Amino acid sequence: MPSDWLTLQFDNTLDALSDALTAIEAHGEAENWPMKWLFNTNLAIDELVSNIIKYGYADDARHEIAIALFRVDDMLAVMVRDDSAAFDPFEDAPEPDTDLSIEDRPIGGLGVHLVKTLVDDVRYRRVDDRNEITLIQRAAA
Amino acid sequence: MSLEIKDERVDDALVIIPVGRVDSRTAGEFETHVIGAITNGEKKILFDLSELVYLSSAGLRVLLMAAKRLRGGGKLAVCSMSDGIRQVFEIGGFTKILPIKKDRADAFGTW
Repeated sequence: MPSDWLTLQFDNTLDALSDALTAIEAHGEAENWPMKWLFNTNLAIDELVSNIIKYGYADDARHEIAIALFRVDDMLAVMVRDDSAAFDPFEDAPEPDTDLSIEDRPIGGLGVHLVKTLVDDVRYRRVDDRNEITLIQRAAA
Repeated sequence: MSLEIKDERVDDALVIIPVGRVDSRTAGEFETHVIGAITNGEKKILFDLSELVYLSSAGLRVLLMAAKRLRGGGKLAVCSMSDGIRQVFEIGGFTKILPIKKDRADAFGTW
């Protein structure tokens, strides 16, 4: 029964996020994750955590972001915890209209939509002044 | 992991080849490069994504900015994308607004 896990903590900077993504990708490759998991996990964490870093903090202080990844058989769970402002990206972010023409289409706003579509299940809860996001992926049946 | 951007001239077209990943950290560099090319007068731009490993919404954003600026007199196409990146284009609704070509020959043969 293949199972593996990885936990990471890093500061709220895009450089630290990039290093974390590199570490996650190296872990997934070493554990022979399906290509789909490698791509979607990288993308989902980049989209969600970069939003947290760019928009979630009212001060300039250093904050810690924690990520835990657990794989059991054909299921991968990714959890992200941070102490930024309360925000449920899956409910509070506006849905983009992906049918608009080039002229009418606003710049930006697609990140959360990509995550919701690429990942099998997304959850959010606020626990003890922290945001907790869970992403569930299953290997293709 | 980071991003390197290569340019190639093919007749009156500029082929931009991003190598590596366009994500939240590298999209600013990609934007500066692409918008700089348009500001310098490039009118036909083909994005060859054959060496691109990841593209996030931050990368789609730059392509949309370029497409808006090249409307009316300019041309923009994208070619040679991996299955993962194609999925990002499809979910973002970008296959409906940008010409997606199989490879360079397909792109240059039809635009």
